[in-house]
Amino acid sequence: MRGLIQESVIPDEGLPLDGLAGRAHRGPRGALSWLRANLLTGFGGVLLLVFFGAGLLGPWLEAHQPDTLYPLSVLQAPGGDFPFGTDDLGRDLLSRILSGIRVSLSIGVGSIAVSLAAGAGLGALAGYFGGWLDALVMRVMDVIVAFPAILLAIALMTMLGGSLVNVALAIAIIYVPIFARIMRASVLSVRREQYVEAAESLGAGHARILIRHVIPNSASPILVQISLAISDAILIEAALSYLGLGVNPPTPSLGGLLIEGQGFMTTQPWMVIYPGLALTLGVFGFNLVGDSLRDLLDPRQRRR
Amino acid sequence: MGMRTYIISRLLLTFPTLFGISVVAFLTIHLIPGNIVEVMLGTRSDVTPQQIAQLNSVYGIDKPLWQQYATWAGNVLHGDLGFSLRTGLPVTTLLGSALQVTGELTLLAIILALLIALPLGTYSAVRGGGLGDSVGRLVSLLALSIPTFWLGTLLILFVSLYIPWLSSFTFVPFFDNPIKNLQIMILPAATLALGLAAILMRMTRAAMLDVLGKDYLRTARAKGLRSSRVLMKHALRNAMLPVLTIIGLQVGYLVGGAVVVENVFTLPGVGRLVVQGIEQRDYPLVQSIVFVVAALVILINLLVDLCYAWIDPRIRYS
Amino acid sequence: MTGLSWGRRRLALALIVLGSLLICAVPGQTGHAAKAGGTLTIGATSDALTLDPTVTTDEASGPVENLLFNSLVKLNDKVQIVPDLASSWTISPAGTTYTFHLRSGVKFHDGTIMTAGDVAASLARLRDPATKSPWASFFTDVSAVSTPNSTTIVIKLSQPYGPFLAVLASFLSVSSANFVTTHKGNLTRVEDGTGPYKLKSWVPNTSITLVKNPNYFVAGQPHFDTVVFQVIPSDASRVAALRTGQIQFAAFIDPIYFPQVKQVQSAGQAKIVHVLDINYHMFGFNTKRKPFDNPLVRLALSYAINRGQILKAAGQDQGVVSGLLTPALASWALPVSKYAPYTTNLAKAKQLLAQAGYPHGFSFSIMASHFLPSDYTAAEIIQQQLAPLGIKATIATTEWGVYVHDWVVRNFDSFTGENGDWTDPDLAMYAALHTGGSTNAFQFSDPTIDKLLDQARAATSVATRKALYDQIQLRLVNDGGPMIYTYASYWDYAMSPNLVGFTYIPRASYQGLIGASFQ
Repeated sequence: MRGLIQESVIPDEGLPLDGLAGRAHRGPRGALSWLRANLLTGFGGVLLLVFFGAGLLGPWLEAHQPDTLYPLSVLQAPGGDFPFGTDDLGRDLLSRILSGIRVSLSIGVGSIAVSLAAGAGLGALAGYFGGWLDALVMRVMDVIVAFPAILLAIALMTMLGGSLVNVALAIAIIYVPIFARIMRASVLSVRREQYVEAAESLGAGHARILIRHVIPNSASPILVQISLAISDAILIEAALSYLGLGVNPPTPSLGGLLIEGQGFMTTQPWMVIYPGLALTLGVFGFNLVGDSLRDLLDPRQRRR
Repeated sequence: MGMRTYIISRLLLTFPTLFGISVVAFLTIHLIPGNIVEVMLGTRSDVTPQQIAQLNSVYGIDKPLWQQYATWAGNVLHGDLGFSLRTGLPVTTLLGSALQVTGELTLLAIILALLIALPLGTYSAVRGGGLGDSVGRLVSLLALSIPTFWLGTLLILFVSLYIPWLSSFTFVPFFDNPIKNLQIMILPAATLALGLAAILMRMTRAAMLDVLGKDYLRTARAKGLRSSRVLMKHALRNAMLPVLTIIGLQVGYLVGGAVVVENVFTLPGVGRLVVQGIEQRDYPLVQSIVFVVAALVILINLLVDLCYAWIDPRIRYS
Repeated sequence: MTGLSWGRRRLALALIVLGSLLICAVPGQTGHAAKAGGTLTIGATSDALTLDPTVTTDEASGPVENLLFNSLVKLNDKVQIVPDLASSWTISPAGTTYTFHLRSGVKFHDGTIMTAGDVAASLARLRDPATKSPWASFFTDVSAVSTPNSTTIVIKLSQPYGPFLAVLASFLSVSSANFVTTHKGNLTRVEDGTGPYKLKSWVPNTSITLVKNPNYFVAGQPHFDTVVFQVIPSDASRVAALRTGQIQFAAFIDPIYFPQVKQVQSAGQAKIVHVLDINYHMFGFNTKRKPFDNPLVRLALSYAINRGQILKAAGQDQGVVSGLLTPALASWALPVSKYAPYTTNLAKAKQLLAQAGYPHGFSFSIMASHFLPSDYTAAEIIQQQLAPLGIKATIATTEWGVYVHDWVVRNFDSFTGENGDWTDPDLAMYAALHTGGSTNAFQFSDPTIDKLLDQARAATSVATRKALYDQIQLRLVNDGGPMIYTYASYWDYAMSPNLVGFTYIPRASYQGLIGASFQ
């Protein structure tokens, strides 16, 4: 699900062209739809706040520890002492979901942070120095992109074993090409600008050009991409947990909770419904924010 | 740079990429701890070390890695994808029958997605702005946020409880029994179609907006042609090209989604074949299939890039 | 899935009475007349890999082979050795010469007559290094094979070997020598056995269809015209398929699904044969890693855990708490009352830990795989049960292939898993516990145990062997052995209500269908 459409229309040689996905979202009633767009961003932002809040404040919100067994209350339906019910070992589902949110978030944010650092770094290098370095880096990126994300993740996880760090690393690798491409395209288009050539001939250093021109230029597509990538990362990790290759207990991610609940699906559906809902809402929040950011920040949008 | 030069340079660049893919495909499966013999024998067989050595040589895994790579790569270049270590069947046969399943799954998913996306996207573009538009965006983003395996699991649950006649467990090829086949495929295809429909809907909307704003349409309208006919004839036709291109680019998403969906619904497709192959360390099977899939993705992307370069000459200049 | 113990499970020995442990959900149907005909569709977890029992190591090929081949002898439902292709046999007083008298007129599926030469050829093929059979190691004691006439085969052993008949029952399968030669030993997808069914067609990854062998040497058997093994990988799907009648027989191992199968039974669409399987669940240690090199620590953990709770939570209470030899081996197993650590005693555990030098506990990891779901859950429970002692256990979730690899190279602190409980104590214990044993992943070495194991293997008197194995079992549990045994589990065989005559034969359960029919 690599960041929806945006990524795919960034050709090797420069920033996206006009038309297609970049086109104006705004209808004739510019002001009103700006408001609506902001409403969506607002809604997304609220969802994210709730998600983050639940994750961060979890330890204080949960009534029970996520890994404490209550053997006398096995497989209880939601209600009373256990608002979301219990699982087959008598563990409180709500607490597990809260800690699961924490795990999913840390993987999502952590992996993308690593990916951003590595990808942007590589992309900047490639775009700046060009030549064989550029060709090499981009070919490596092509190779990574060619593999369906999930297969790459499966192979990496089987190799590395299930742990928070390994999952984050595996997902990070998948996203490096995307950030690399954005950064590289940004560097390329900036360098072509005449005022940059002028600045260079006046002796401005690489660092100055990077900071004053490249980074602001690439900021918006990267910001958009971050939000979408985090949501994607959370989903990939959930899929990995589903296949048994995710994070270790006793702190399963939301995906891990889903696989735990599968065997009991027909008789204790809450074990599958609640974790899935939490997952969907979190990802939805990230997607909303990312999408709205794209609307607001993308300079090509500023038409009409 | 002329078109011809561009094509040649892109084609040349594909070769190192394909080489890189083959190495990665080979290494990833071989670097995973555990080999086919160990998986086969498990933890309870009373086997002597000599027999393990013999089995290792039967499966060719006692040779140095570079030699195994060379043998495999050489065969692939000749079109020989090798034999599955586990079942002894040729990989081409296994891939062939699995591709039929995955191919049908993706085709059905695309059809379903288009059926949902085209009308909704068009409607959204025509109405433009307003509450309907926002709701549309909300819904499409929500559709993209639902984890595929969760959706699949919920659908299975729902169907088994409320529509039992729709549940079916053994795959029947379409040409053997179309009804039974569709009975099996409809749920997984719908699961896969949801995310794709969301993407396509937004695509359709954007493309339709683009086209609707064009001058010649305004002229046609001014000439008095009825709105709906204008729409259908010109707008949609012009909007289709970008929509179709996007489908091609979403191959990666579809393949990844297929892997998950096939595992949830236990369909004998390529996704399931590869995942099982990894579990069993069936080296030739996994290597060849992963390479073929990745190569296909590269080639499709190459085709799309070439089309873009043809349409917009600016892209050819670096 | 309990995985790869099918080979072991097919072993058996006399002296075991399982009948008392069978809990049939429905009263026996022995009074009804068997009706011939019909197609039996079996729900299989995965596709068979080969039709050659000589090289079979997976769990899906065995069931099909059960119906295609015979051996010299076989097991009945009481796990006693009974005639199969051999109608009678004699064993020399020294226990080293076995003379088998074969039935005459037995036909292979291609119509040719079976002779002693075919039996000898099958055995030779099994033992031939070129065949690379993993089971050849059970026949290393065979020193000479001769066929004085076409219905007699004489096998000489270099030393007495108690389990020999059981080994023959489980690993020898008789095929036509000519057929094997014509097919150059590649019997993966073809067969020519003497069994009640023969192969009709095999659609890879989908189904295998067998048809009745009209020349089967047991009159009146089999009853079904056709048997189809339908591949349905997901447990939930098999439950649903059973409910709708698309399949009429399926085995369920994961106890999580037992309630759902019970639901199908309550709806009148299935009946269940509920049997105690011959394997045990365990928690084992790498005795070369601290702190598990100290038997006191291992004993402390044995006292600390609560086996009953593990059975309830991980096994869904579908089983019995058990030692190394499970209640299925009634004549060899010790009652768990003899095991002091089986009564949970945290105080004693604390005391032992302090004695060993770990008064404040320690940290370690438990290797567990989702491939064995009950054992994975057991690891989670054990983690909780050890916490009060200050012992911090982390669970290393390991993918199955990696799990096996790490087990092979002994790269683990501890692990949860299960072991096939062979029906002879020697086979259950020797390789796993003797110093240098091939499946001794614990790297356990205890000279006393070694001596006892060697003595028990060489002894011929059952009484002597029982006394020795009693000593071994007591020492293993009460003195901190390398493994903590928890429980033995039940399996559910679910079938259509009108399927009668199924008898559960341990380690060869699909042979139990040979006498079955639709009412």
